[in-house]
Amino acid sequence: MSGKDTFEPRIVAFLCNWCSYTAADLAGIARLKYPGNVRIIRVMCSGRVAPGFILKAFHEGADGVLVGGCHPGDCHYLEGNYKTLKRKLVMDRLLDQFGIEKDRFRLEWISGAEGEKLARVANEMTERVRRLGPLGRTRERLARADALELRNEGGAASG
Amino acid sequence: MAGPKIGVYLCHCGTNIADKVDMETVREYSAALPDVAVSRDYKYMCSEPGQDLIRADIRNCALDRIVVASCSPRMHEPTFKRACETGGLNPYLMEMANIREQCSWVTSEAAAATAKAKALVASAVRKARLLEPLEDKTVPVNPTTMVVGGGIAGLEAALKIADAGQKVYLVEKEPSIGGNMAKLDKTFPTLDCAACILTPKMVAVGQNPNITLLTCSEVEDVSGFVGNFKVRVRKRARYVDVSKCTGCGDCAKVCPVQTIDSFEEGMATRRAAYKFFAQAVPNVYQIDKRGWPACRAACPAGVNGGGYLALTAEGKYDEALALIRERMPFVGICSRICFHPCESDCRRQEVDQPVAINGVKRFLSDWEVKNNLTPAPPEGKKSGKSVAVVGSGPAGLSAAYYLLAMGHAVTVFEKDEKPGGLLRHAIPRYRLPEEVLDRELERLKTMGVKFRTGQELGRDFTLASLRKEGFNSVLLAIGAGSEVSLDVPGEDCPGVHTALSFLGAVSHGQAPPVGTGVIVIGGGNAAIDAARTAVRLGAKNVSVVYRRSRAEMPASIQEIEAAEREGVKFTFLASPVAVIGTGKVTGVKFVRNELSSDVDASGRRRPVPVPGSEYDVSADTVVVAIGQTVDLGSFDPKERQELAAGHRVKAGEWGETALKGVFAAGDFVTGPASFVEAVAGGRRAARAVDAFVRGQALPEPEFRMPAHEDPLDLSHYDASPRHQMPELDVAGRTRSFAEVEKGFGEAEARAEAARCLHCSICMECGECVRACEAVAVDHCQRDEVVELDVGAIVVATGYQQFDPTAGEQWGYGRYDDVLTGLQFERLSNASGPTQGRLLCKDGREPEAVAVLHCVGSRDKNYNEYCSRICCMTSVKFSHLVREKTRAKVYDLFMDMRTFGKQYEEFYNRVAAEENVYFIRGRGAEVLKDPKSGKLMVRVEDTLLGVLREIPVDMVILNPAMVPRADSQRVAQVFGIQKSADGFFLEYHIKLEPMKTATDGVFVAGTCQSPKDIPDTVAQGAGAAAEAMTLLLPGSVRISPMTGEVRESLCSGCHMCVLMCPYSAISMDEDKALAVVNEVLCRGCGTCSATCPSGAMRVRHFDNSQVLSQIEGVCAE
Amino acid sequence: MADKLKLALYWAASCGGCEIAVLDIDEKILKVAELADIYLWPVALDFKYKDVEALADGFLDVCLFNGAIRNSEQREIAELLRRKSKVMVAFGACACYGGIPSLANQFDRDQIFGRVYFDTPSTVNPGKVLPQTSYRVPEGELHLPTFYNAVYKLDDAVKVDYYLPGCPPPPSLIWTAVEAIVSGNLPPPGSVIAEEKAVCHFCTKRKDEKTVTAFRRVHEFIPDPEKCLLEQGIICSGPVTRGGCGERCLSANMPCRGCFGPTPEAIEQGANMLGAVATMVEGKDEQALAKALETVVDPLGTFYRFTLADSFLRLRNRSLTAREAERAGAAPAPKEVAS
Repeated sequence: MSGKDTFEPRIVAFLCNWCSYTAADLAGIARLKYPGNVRIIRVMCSGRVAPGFILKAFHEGADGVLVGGCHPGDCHYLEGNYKTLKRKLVMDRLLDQFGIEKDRFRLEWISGAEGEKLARVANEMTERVRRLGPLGRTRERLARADALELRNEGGAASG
Repeated sequence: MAGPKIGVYLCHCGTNIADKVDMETVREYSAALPDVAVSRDYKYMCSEPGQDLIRADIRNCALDRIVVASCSPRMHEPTFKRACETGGLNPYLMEMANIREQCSWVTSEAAAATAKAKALVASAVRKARLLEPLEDKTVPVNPTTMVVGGGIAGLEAALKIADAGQKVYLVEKEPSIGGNMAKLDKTFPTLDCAACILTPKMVAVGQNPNITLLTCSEVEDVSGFVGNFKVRVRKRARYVDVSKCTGCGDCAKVCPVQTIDSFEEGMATRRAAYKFFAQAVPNVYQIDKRGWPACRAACPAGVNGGGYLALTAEGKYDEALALIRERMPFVGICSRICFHPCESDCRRQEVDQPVAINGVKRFLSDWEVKNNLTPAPPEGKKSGKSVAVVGSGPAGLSAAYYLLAMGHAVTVFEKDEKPGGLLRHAIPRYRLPEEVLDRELERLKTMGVKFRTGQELGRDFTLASLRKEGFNSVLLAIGAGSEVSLDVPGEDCPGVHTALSFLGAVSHGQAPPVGTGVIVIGGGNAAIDAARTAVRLGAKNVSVVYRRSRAEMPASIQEIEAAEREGVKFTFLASPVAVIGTGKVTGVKFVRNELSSDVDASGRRRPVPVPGSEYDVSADTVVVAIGQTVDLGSFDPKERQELAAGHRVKAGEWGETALKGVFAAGDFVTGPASFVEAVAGGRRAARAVDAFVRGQALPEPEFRMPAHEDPLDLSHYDASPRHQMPELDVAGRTRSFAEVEKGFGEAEARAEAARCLHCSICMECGECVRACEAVAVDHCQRDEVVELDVGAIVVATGYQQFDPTAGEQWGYGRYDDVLTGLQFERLSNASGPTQGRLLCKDGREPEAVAVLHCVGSRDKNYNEYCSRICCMTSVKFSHLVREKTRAKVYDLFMDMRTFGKQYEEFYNRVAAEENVYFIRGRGAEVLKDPKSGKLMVRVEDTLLGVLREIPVDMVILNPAMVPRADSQRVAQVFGIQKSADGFFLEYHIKLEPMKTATDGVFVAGTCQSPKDIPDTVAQGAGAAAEAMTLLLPGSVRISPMTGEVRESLCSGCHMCVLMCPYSAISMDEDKALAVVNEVLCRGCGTCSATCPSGAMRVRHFDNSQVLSQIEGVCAE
Repeated sequence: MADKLKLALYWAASCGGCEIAVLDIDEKILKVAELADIYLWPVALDFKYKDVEALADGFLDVCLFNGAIRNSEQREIAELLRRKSKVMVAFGACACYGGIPSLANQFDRDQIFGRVYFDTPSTVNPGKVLPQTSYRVPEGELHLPTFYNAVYKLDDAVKVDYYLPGCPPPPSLIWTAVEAIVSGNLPPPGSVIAEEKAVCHFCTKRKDEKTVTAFRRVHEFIPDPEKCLLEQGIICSGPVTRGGCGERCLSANMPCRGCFGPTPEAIEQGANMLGAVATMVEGKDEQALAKALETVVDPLGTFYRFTLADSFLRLRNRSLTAREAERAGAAPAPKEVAS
């Protein structure tokens, strides 16, 4: 995936069923184009997106994670999006501590009518993450580290 | 244990998917995924043969999980769920991968699309491995439907459901059902009269026993879920009891208030008491009241200024006076001495100057005196109780008046020989002639109030003696008569007076000699009174010295200005430090002040002396007017202790004191305040005394409506300056104590009263109440909130017309005779403002008329969409103009879209009419030719390729249909989404045009998209069918995708409880476990995302399932 | 049982508290001596690695291994003891989840060495000397273990049979484990020897509405001992942490720090706690919320205090640290210089 010449970032998008997922359908119906690297997972509400999902996605090799919810006040479940926002505000700081750049995690309000916005956000985010470069799949990195440090005697030196 | 057996089904969707995605690669890939037993691709998986493939494999290969990779689950999830179910597999064991909308359609390159398709299939397969069978739950449904919006779509829906025998609530915001269609004249293509085809439906709705009609009503909140909604509806007060109103219209006949008629699109006026339109259903009147007028809200006593202005303007003086006396018994006094906060807040000043409200009141008083009328005393059934009122100032007199009116025997005690209190002693005669006061007192006596003068509390009688005498209650209104002293050396020097002693002496004809120089110290009304009195006593140099600046002066501005006109000088920012003189005042030593940067308790900046700035001013007389306090000397020590709190009298909101049965009012409670506040206090205390002597609890706080503060449309009002009240000239007035203000004449007073804007529409003048024989008018009606239980909701809230003032090019609002479509409909309508005659504003019949299509439609600057009805409406307008006038008609169109049944035929017919010219081109601009005065329409004739300027007399714009201004709020209340154009979003644009994202909420008519009447009616009926399909089975399947607590893991931390927007989670405190009410749960999963221990799961979107999906999408 | 239990105890990357905890079972230690023969316990008894190496594979019944894996020596001994033991127990938070030492995973080896050997104010190292894994002296070649780039939990190095969490594990739980081992009455391999339910379940403080306007820290005020600490604005990991610890912190009116690791179904301890804590905060708009949530100090350190080596991300993203270093124009990598 992380080819040396053309880095194709992988972006996992959690979209709420009622707004952003509908917007993704609309983007499709309108034949708007965005990179194939944006992979969508449907959840009923952006409030369903547990912080662990986001970390898991980075762990599995995502270079960016997008969460799409309804606009404030429009949440199908009244205020799930508001709860997502709260988590996002702390997540930003946690990810920073993990060395993960701000642009790799994005929360967007995309209504069911905003197919164009979905495509725009997908394009924009892919571009920004492409510029940031690969995050490095934590899972692979760990495997490498494990191989290097735990299994393979006499590998890394201390300095 | 063997894993599940998964079947993967890849749909080509014709070429939609297969053109971009290499289906064979994906099939091979998926076949190799763990637990996949079968992998097939097919041209149309959603077709019957496609579904049969799945069903056959479930049977033959013992598949227990299905993955379908095709279009969006929002499209075909139900289809494939059914396929599984009919194939013998639990439908929740099926998972979809969206490789069309999310993959083939949005990905440019085939390789990337194929890779993405693999990832999406991998994701679905991983989730499928963890799926578990779920059973739909069924819950009983409430068989009642609510239809929101009483336009033709709502009417149709309500009637269809009601005719099927089901109950319907029809909620309409306006006072009548009918909607926009009720405004139309003729309808295309048949030229049926709109009223002729609409009114029978309205009547049918009104009479249908299955339909409960709620007009003037709006839905505020919807909770619950499909089949079981709880709806909160606000029924706005219409101030007319619908069950009593006979629709006779007597109220409107007498209503003095004219206002803009919105039903007539602003082209006519109506009364504040009105019927929405002639054929309104329900056929009843209502009163358009938007709160209290600003004047009334500003008045401490709540005197209804707007009300008596309206009555005065109509010449109804008796009624006006009675209305005033409901809150202000002393019209003659009030109209002379009130500082009239009503005028300060009057909204007429938004146009020019405030109405001279108090001046009109003065006229009414003068008129009564001139005509020697003795107003009938207020009636009150005798209560047999007696009340002693101590003090005969404004508060005492006011209380006496209202207590008497309530039926009690009232005796007023006054220490002086003549009653009146400060009105007699302190208000100078030039402001309040003594005969005016005496007349009011005489009236009280005639009514039956007993006065005992020369009787002083503490000297001649005590509270105890009053009780012994048999009074049931005592009201203390003894004022704040103790004057504050300067506390400077020399203050007791002869020639130094307090304001009250000075004014009192003058009032009683014992004016002290003032010499030539008079200094008045203070900044209140008493100071001004003293200064103006001194002028009249012959003083040459009168100055008022105030310690702060002019801005902080408590005296009323009118009084200050009058004093200045009479030659009184003002000195600000100076305080006396000593009175100079031995045996006789010769001057005062002052120190200059600065204002502090901070403010004191009164919110004003404090004066701070400037050291070394002392200076002397010579004077013969000094009047000290720096305030009064309450004097409790006349009470025995025990009473004093109970009554007082520091320097103030302790009394409740109603004037109740710590002494049982003893009440207090006026300055005695408030400290020095205005006349009108004292009267208000007296009335309030009278109500409390009334309750006490009848053995009742204290009354509820009196209802005060908030002032109407919304912006006014001032374009309808012409400036007309305030009438100035005639006054004695300055030379004349400074030589005598004759009254300065002479009062308005009748013509001036009526003209002044007519300047009232009726800012809150209804002014509560009471004419309608008197006129209504059915006793249906009820001005005390309040908004009512009702809760309805319904199973389904049809939202049919309609559209509004695009406002062409948005673009200057159309000239709308700038030129007369540029009309909107709806204005033309009203003009053309036989029941409209011109009875159906097509006339220009100046009354002429037009000789040429232009009709413009696409005003605000198909225009990137406004709305990109086509409003669909305008072409046909325009053709209809062209025809109607020809039918009614001899005018030439120019119909300017971009494209002619006559798409409906008989539409093209209608167009051809009109096109063939004589003198109707169809020009292909957008009407670009409407101008006025300064020479001819005609309107000029500019258009590019795109068929001939020429620019034209067409002179016409009338322009009819056909504005776009746009979402209603409140559509955002409505969308949020009902959980409906909006499409990019702002109309309500249907679940599927073709297949589910009436369903919405919220189960059980349907849309119909023009709130969903612009459409004509036939389509609107069809959708209304369609929405009715949707509602009945939902409700008639008696129960509804609800999703089992709900939250669930794993009890062995729940630690009872409470974290999930507040997460649930539906209150579906509660705590079982005994077991310390969270409990999910699965009927209330809507499955959003926020609780699961919040649950720290992972005990809360949400079925079908469980943590493990989503985590495996993440692995899947990252796999490829 | 006829034979005495053959036991080894080992101390890898940890503070040593776990060793003390073993002694904290008080007089029962005598019973342990009665029941078991100890073959390795570097902190208390003088056995050598070679003694262990001499044992037959699988000779030992149980190894209680505390501490995380920070260097090659620890890995080597872990592998040795694994070979020699029938049952391997990850003893204490560090062995189970990486523990406090794994907070070092926010930095890589270069950063740590740079800090320790060059940057601390008390360091004087003009020759830029760094420890080497091998170094030749006249007497021959000396070897030091390799310092790993990250801290690992024990099961990253070897298969672990049971996990006994805690910082340190409470004596009662140690005794339960010892008894279970002695009696052979063991849970399925892979089990965590603690409760399934979270600490919250055992905490006696009153719980009510989980909303706060801001969080505070324990030094800022004295909380009401009767009331849930979270509801008083103190971040307490009770809801996400396995119970079984005896709630020692909570009974001292201190919040749970999470040393028992996540409950069995938590996605991960830190992320789950973050999600819960963030949603508790109320604020009228995004700005107000952001401000209120700033009171959650050091999210990583707070939520992953004991489990960073067990989290999805585990390590700071090194591509970034490399880029940061580039941007900062950091000194070239330190050369290997002999002392």
